[in-house]
Amino acid sequence: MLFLFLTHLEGYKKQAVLSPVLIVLEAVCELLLPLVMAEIVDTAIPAGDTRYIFRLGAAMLVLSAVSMACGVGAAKYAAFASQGFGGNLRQCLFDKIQDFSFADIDRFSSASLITRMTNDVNAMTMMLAMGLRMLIRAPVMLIAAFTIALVLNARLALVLVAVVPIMIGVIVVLMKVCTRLFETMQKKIDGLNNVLQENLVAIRVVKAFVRGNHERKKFNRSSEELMQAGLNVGLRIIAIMPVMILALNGATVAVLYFGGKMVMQAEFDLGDLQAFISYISQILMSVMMVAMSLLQLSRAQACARRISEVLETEPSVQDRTGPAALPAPKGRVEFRDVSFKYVASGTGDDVLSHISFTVEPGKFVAIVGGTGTGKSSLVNLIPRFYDVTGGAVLVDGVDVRDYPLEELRGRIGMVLQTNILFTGTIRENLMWGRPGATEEEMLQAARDAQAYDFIMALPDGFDTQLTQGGSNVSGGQKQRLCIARAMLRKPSILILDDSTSAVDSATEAAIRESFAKNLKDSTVIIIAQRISSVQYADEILILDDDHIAGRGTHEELLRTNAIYQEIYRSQQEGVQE
Amino acid sequence: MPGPHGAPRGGYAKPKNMGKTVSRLVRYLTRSKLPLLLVFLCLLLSVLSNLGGSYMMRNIINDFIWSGCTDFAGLGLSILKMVGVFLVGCLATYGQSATMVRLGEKGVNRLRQELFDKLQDLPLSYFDQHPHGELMSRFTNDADNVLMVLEQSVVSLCSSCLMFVGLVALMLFINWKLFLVIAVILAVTMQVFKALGGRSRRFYQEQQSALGAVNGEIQEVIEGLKVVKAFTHEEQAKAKFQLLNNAYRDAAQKANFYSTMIMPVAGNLMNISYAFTAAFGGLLSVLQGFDLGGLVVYLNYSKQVGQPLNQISQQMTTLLSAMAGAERIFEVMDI
Repeated sequence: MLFLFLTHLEGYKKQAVLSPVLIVLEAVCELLLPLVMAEIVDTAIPAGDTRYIFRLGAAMLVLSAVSMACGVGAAKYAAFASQGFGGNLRQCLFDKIQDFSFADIDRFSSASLITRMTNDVNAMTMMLAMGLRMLIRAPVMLIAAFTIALVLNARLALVLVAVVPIMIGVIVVLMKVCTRLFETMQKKIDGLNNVLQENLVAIRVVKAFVRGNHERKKFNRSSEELMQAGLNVGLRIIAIMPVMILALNGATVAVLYFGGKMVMQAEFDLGDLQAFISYISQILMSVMMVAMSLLQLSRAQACARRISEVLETEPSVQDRTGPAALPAPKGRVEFRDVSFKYVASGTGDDVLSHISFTVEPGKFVAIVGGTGTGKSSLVNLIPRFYDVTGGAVLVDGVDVRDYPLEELRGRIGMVLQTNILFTGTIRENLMWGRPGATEEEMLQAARDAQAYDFIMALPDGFDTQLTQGGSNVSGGQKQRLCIARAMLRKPSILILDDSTSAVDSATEAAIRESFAKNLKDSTVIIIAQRISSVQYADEILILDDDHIAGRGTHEELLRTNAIYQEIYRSQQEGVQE
Repeated sequence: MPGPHGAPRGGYAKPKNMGKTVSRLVRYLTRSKLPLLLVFLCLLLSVLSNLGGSYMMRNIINDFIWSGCTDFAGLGLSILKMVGVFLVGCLATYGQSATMVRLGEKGVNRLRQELFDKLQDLPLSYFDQHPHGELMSRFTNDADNVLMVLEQSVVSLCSSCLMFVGLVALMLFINWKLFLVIAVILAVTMQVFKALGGRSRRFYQEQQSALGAVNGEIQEVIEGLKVVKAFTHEEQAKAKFQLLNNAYRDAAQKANFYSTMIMPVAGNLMNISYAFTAAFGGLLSVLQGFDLGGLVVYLNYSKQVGQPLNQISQQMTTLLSAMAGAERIFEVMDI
């Protein structure tokens, strides 16, 4: 964790050093006060010297004022250092996550990445902001007060020898237990977030299939697990306070008894006894503070570990460095004996095995097959969202792993299965396709994707603000916007992963026509469920359980392929009903 | 970032109807009044025993330690009584915290589950109009915040108030002239708190709205990361995030400075009052024969009296933000 702090303090090193120095000065000034007070009780009052009382009082005032100035300065530097650190760390994480491959994203899950970037970073920043003060002030107080106590009365200081180890023992045990429990709790929070996010993303599916009760049970279970984890931590942590108070009061009482006896035997002064009691409580409070900040530290440690996990991940898809002689974009796609499995799933089953086929430039190819047959996985290999586990994927005759990622993905227009638009205007969203595109090109892309009319019907047209995830347009409109975004790219390869499902057949046909007209040199690869979406394809690939179970045109497959016939028949029945 | 259609995320507005929200929350905690009564009794007991225990020191000093006699047995007996009082206080503190943790965790669990139930029944259009990030944060941030407040702030507020009243009463009882000194310093302290608190709250709100923007961006870009990568939009995303992140950092540095400053300022104001008390107490002792036991106990109290005030001002901030969070939760439930 220390390493994490040190490496991300860039630009705030001065403040990070000055703050502790001021904190130490502040503590020392404060600690001198009881000594001055003892002088008042022991010397000034018995002598009845009022002028000496005034002088001592003034000295205490000066000490307090200096202490306050140091405290304010320390607070300022601590705020700058800690929040600066937080900013650096957040940016570093964000940049790192941007370089993650799809496999890395899957492995962490986006919910967990979000918690790490928000809650965990904030916890660490708070730790630095508040904890730093306690972590430095408390040990200084502890050592200084202990030294003074020893000088005042070494015999009485023995009380500490009895109390402090007990306190530390209790704290250490509690901390060990709590650190582990905190981590469990954090996992439960992630779990709850996951259930929640799944539900929010798929609320339509949940409602369509009346899965509400099932989801409710799942959520309730998650919530109860979190409660149990919270109780486990909570009920242990609260024991710290009473134990500490008991130790503090116990020590005070012991000092009062033994010290009182010494005063009665004239071996010790009352003023010194009073000062000693102050220091004892100062020492024990400091031990408590150290414990508290260590506890926070242990929580921050769990957070630090989770952040480091992200920072230390080597993106599984590495961009190649150095230039390469690349062929001009034509749109030829070749799968050469490709096998693939998701490492994240860990089951070891191949999602695709020994797939070989070639798509010539300008062709229109469709992929059909049941769910879980690897259709999405297959197209995700082309822009190198994942790396193959065997064989090779070639674009224009070159292995995709030999392209710089930006060049490769620049040649491909992709409409993903999960359509995501971003907060901003429609124009801004479409321009993602090609940042340098002209207004006319953008309008054309919108027309081609059959999105122009509904956009113009919106009150602000292309300047309409989309909310997060594009939640203020309908599903079909969203799909068309996503298609426009991909078409604006003028890609040599256009891939549509089941992204016309919410668009009606007539609109879909119009979109297909504009592919033929305005992207006639581009290779088009689509994944679709409806036969009507694929029947005009130059070639249809049928995927079944990790391999290609048939290929050909609509007519050929209808004659020869049992799976295709089955799909066709089921959809025809649907039409007749 | 919250566009014209996006509701502010994570910004802690003032609660609209504090009383109603609190009483509604309490109903989540427990349906019967018994556990709450138990908590209050424990609280009272722990405050009383803490104050009482330390007050016993006055007589111990006057009657034994500084009396010139050598009645060790009498000293031991008085000390034993003090130990007994402290033990009771300690048990009461644990009893109170344990009850509150139980009630709090169960209450939040119930709150989360009811909120989720409600979510299942909401029309689809609701989900189209509300960003997922905002809904998520009601479950996690808001619910957690409410939990923390239920467990800690409310109790700590009550105990701080009791403690403050008790300390003031005892100090008046020990020596009302000396109390005048403290009263002046306390008045100054409150003014400083008010000034600092006002500024701190304003900066805190700025910080929270910048945080909302940062969190919203994180949520959106990470959920849509696959699209970002498909369009090789990584560098633009980084640049945009840097702007938001820097704005948040600047706001947080300011807000943090003010909130961190309160601690040393308050602590040292109490030291100043300690200095005044020491000087005037000494004078009173010389000129008017004020008993030394009283002075010692009074000095201890004068150091403690700032703590409850500090606590109250801190807890009020968390309480307000949590109540605003609770209101956002209830908002969904009341649709």
